[in-house]
Amino acid sequence: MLELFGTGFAAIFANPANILLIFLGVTAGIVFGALPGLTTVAALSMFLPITYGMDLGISLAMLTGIYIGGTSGGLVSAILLNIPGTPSSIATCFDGRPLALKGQAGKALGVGIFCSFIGTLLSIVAMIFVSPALAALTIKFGPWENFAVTVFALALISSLVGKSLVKGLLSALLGMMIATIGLAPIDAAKRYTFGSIELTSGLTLLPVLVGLYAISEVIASSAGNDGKDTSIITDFKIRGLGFTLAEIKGQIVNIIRCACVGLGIGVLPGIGGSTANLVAYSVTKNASRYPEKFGTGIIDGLVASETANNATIGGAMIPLLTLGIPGDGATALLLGGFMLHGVTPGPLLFETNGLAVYMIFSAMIFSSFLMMLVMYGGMKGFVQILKIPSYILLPVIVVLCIIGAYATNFRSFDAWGLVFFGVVGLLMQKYAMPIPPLILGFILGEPFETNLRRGLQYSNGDFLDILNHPIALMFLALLAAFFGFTAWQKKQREKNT
Amino acid sequence: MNHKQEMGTGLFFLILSLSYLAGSFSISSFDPFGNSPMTSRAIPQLIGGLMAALSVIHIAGNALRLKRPQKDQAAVRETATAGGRRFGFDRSSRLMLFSVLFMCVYIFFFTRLGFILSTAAFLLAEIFLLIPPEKRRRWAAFVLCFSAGLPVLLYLLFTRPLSMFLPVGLLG
Repeated sequence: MLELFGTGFAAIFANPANILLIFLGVTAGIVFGALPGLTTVAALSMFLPITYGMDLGISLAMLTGIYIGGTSGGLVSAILLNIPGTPSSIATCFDGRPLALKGQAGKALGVGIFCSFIGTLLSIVAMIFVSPALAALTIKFGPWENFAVTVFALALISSLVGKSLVKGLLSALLGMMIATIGLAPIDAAKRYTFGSIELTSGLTLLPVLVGLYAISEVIASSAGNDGKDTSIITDFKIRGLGFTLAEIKGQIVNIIRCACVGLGIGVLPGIGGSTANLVAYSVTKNASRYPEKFGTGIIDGLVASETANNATIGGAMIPLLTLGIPGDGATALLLGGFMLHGVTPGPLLFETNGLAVYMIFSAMIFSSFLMMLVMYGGMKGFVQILKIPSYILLPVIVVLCIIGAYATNFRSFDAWGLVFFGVVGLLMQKYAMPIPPLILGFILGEPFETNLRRGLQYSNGDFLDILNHPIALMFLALLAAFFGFTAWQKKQREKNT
Repeated sequence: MNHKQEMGTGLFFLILSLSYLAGSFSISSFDPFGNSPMTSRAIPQLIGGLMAALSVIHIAGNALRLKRPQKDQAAVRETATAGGRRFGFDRSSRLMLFSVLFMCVYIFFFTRLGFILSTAAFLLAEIFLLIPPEKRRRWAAFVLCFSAGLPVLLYLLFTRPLSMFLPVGLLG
């Protein structure tokens, strides 16, 4: 492993252009994370076409840099503007803004940046140790095991995202429905092509993903904000790291606890940083000896939110690298990044593209340090960028997304698909339909079908053959236990009210 | 969202699933070795069937809640918009509608006029659409230069160092 790490780091540092690209990725991520209304997903969508001409390793290194920068950048506007730059920083507002209003914006920013760094680093370390072991296990999976994993992931995301299980499942089924357009796996029968040549090859992931996440956000943002009055705090100074050693010493348990929360939530498909920061905040508040002080401007809440949201990064990367299942919207775009280079993440990735994987690991560690340096050093600059009006930025994002969609197959059809799914995403937001299950349904629709049909072929049509596969059974049992627990919890809640 | 809207969502999915199910019968069923327990029709039928069943559950669940006493209804009305984004047909809706329209026009002319011309026109139109009316005059010169300059810069960036093909159109 150490040898591979050495090679990974050497591949990055051998070429100064690589360092520059990672620096560019981290900085762009922070800017997008800091600008309210623009998310990490929008940054990744914008930069995806730029990676076409690059090698797999460096393109993914740059994209993960954006991911790390974007997740961390949200704290800037949360503290200085009282608007979370990304959904991952909602809880950062709770104590970050009051601290800034007390004249301690420098301290709030310092604590936020440092905890973002620690959270990212801890999750990367966990990812580095867990991923290869998990990949070695999943490489032994047959069709029934893979089928059970896809069912598990789809059902879990449908129940965890949004407020209604039925709507989550409907969204996942809609994604699977879209995935059936084109030629069927195994026997290549034409399905729902309506005589269109373009539809014969099916819909490409990138336009669907970017349309649902980025274009829908751009269209919604074009309507302006909700009229919330916010003033930017520009008068602050970060001395040293922004906090004292004693202050952070008292937060060690909090940091470790929230990193575990973030990591655990990150591994679960579909929820990610937007939930992790709120869960970690409430866990910290419940465990605190002075819960009444939360929300008044104490660093405990800030530490919880920023450690947990960044810890989801490593967590979300684990299922992506080992199973090819993206943990959230950003990792779904990273999956698109892999696919652009003709590589499908999964257990074989460590065997076939080992160097690229360790280059990504090395780049993520490097990006974490870079993120901390850039944020500490360039804070005044980010404050200036927060003043760029959205009516300039939004059209530019649309142009870059359309270039990306067009470049997928060099045809306008994919650009039309982008706008179509942008409108679909907007309507889904309007009718409170969760988008992540649709994305996962679209991604996992094909492996679901292929593995189910293969499994049935191997067993001469006997579905009960799945009972002879303990790993597949374990996943289905876990799912049944999860649904049982959720139903029991719901009943308890109803009883109490 | 209120229960009537939720029932409408359920109805949409029910119609979609039934149409999808109907379409599945025209998929050719191929059984080359006489041992295919599942043909290419089976998964669409499974998805369509499950979606139809869930839609019915969603409609029925909301219909039952609609019949509950008035007290519950008031509570529902209070939290009616908690789940989804609210979009009324005001200036915001017009902006969204025109943004989508401009995107469609942009894509239509993308290959016909070429990247540089279509992008310049799109940027100009979209920025002027989104910019608050009172700021239009002050920003006009900047927007014109920005809309003309950025497409050229992007074209050079994507076609030269990144070796990507972008449509040349009328300028070719």
